[in-house]
Amino acid sequence: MNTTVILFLVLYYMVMVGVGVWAMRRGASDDLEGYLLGGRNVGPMVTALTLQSTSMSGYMFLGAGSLAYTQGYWAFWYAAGDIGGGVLNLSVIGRRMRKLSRMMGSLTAIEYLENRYPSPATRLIAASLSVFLLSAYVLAQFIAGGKGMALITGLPYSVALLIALAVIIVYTFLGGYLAVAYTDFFQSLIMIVGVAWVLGAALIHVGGLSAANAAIAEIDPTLLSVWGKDLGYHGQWGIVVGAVLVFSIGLMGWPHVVTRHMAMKQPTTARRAGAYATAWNLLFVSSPYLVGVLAIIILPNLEDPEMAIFQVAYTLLPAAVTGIVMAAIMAAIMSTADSLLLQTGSIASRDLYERFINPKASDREMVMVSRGLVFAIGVAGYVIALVQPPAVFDVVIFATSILSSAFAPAFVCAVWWKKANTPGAIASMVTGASTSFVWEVGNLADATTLAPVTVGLLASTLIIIVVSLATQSISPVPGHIVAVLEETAKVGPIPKHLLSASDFALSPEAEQIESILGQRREER
Amino acid sequence: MTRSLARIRGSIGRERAEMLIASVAGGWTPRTEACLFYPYFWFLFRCSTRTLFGETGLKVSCLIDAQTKVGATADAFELEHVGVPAGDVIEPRLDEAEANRLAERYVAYVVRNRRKALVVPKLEVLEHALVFKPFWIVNCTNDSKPDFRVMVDGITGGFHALAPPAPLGSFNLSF
Repeated sequence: MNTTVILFLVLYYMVMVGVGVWAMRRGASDDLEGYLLGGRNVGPMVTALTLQSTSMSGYMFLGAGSLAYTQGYWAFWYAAGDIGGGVLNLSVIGRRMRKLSRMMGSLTAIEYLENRYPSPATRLIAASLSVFLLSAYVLAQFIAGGKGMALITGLPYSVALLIALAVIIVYTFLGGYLAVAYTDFFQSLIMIVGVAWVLGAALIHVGGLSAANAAIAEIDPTLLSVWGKDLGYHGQWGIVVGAVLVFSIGLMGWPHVVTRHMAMKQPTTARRAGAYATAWNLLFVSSPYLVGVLAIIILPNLEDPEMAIFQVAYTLLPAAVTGIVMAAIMAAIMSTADSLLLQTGSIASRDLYERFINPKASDREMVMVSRGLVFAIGVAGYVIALVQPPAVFDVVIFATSILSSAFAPAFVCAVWWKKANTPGAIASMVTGASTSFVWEVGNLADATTLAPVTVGLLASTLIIIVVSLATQSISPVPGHIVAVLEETAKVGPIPKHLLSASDFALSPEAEQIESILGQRREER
Repeated sequence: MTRSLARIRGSIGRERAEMLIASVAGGWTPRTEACLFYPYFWFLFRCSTRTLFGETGLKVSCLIDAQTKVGATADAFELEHVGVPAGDVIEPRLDEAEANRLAERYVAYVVRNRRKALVVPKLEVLEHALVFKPFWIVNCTNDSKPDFRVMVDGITGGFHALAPPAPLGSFNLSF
C-alpha cells in the first residue's frame, strides 16, 4: 500500500462527489443532465468518450491483460474480434434492426425478439438466459473490483471484495451518480489518458516495441507467435475462429436498452459520435492487450496474471498518477457492474415478473423485484468470488460464448430472412445456448479443438434454418411481420442516399401516416 | 372546415421541405402534396429522485404518440395555436388519462436507465396538452421511374420514405 496512491485515490473520489454535488445544487434547470436523461447528445466528443467508458469493463483491465501476459500475441485474435465486432454489428444487423425495432415499438432486445417471433416462450427463454448470463458477467466485475480494491488499499481480498460489492449495490439501489453526464465524461477522460499513459510508460520502459519483442523472444519465442505459448493452439482453427467470433458476434447477443428522444432540431451529432467512438475503439481496444504483452518483460514473475495492468501502472507511474488512474479504472469497473445489475434487474422484473407472474405490477413493485434480484446476485456473487473465484477472462468468455450462440442467429435472421419463424428461433436459442454450455462445462474445446462459440453458433444457425423450413406450413411467419420486413428492406425506386439519410425515429409515425393515406385513397 | 389546435412551432415550410428532399434525391422532382398534423400528448414532469447525497430534481418533457402509444422524451419546444383544415388533422386514438399513465411509466424507465439506479422517481405533472406536429407529404417524380413519397418532419426536417399501405396487424406498441 502506498500512502500517496491512497491520498490521490481519495482526492479523486472527493472531486467526483464534489462535481456531483455541485451539479445537483444547480437543480432542475441543469440542462446537461436534461440532455443526458433525454438521451440527447452533448456533443460528439463527449458522447464518444461516455460510450467508451461503458465498454471499458473489468475484462479490459484484468482479462485482456492476463490473456496477453500468459499467451503473448495470441491474445490479439480476441482484440481483432473486438475491433471488428462493432463494425460487423452495425453493418449486418444495425440499421435494419434499429428500424424494425422502432416499427414494432420494442424498447428492449427481448421485447424485440418476442415481437418478431411472437410467442411467450420466446420472451421466457430469452429473458431467463439473459438474467443468468448477465449475472455471470456481473460476477466478473465483482472479482475485478475486489482484486483492484485489494491492490490499491492493501486490504485482504475478502474485505476488499465486500467493500467493492457493497459500494456497487448501494449505488445501484440509491443512485450514487449525482450527475452522470459530468462524472462519466470526467471519468472517461482520465481513464483514456491513464491507459495511454500506462502504455506509453511501458513502451518507454522496455525501449520500444521492437526491443520488447526481442526481449520476449529471449524469454519464450513462442509468445511472439499467433498460436499462443508453446504454440499450444497451432493449427487449431476452430479455436482461432472462436477467439475472433466471441466478441465480434458476441456483441450481437447482448440485450440492449433503447430510449426514444424527440429532438426539435435536426440531429447531426449521433453520426459523428458514432464515428468518433469507432475511432476511439480502434485506437484503444488493443492497448490493454499490448500492456499485457509488455508486462511479460516488466514483471516476469507476476503471481496473479490478472493483475498485470494494475501492477504495470503501480510499478511505472508516479504515485499520484497511479492513484488517480486506478481510481478511474475502479470507477469504470463499478460503473459497468452497476449498469449490468440494472439491466439484469429490469429484465427480471419487466420481462419475467410483469409478463408472466403479475401483469398488473406497479412501478414500485417492479423496482422491488429488481432490487431483490440484485441483492441475491450480490450475495451469490460474493460467495462464489470468495470461495472459488474464477478468472475474469473465463467468466467473460463463458457468458459471451453462450449469449452469442443463443441469440446471434435469431437476431440476424430476424431482419435478413423472412422465413425465420418462432419454432425455428426458439429451437435455435435453446440449442445454441445448451451446446455452448455443454462445450464450456465439459471442457470439450481441448479434445475437439473447437471453441464453444464456434460449435454453439454452428448448431444454432443450422437449427434455425432447418426448423424454420420444416415448420413453415404449421407456423408461418405472420403476415404483418412479413409486411414490416418488406417495409424494412424497402428500396424500390427510392434513392439510396435518401434512404440512408432517413430518420428512423420517425418510423412509427411513417407507418401510421402510410396507413391513413391509404385509407383516404380507398375512400375516394 | 377549420380546426383549431396547438401546433409545435417549427421552421420547416413547404419550400424548405422540398429543398431538403431534392438535396438527397438527385434527378427527382419533389412536390408537396399535403401537410398532415400528427397528434401527441405532451407532459412536462418535475422528476425527483433520491440519491446518496440527497434529492435531485429536474424537468423532463415527454411526448406520447397518440396513435401508436410510443413514448419519447423531448427537447423544449414552443406551441402556437393555429387554425388548420380539419381534414389535415389526424385524430388521437387514446385518451389523456391513458397517455398520462404511459408517460409516467416511460419517464420512470428512462430515469432508471440513464441514472443507473433502481429507483422509483417522484413525478409531478407541471404542464400537459394535446399537441400536433406538422408533417409534409412530398411526392417525388422522375420521368423514367415510378413515383415515391416521403414525409418530412415540419419541426426538424428529418424525413422518412413512405410505402403503399401494408396489411399491418396489431403490434404491441404500448410501453
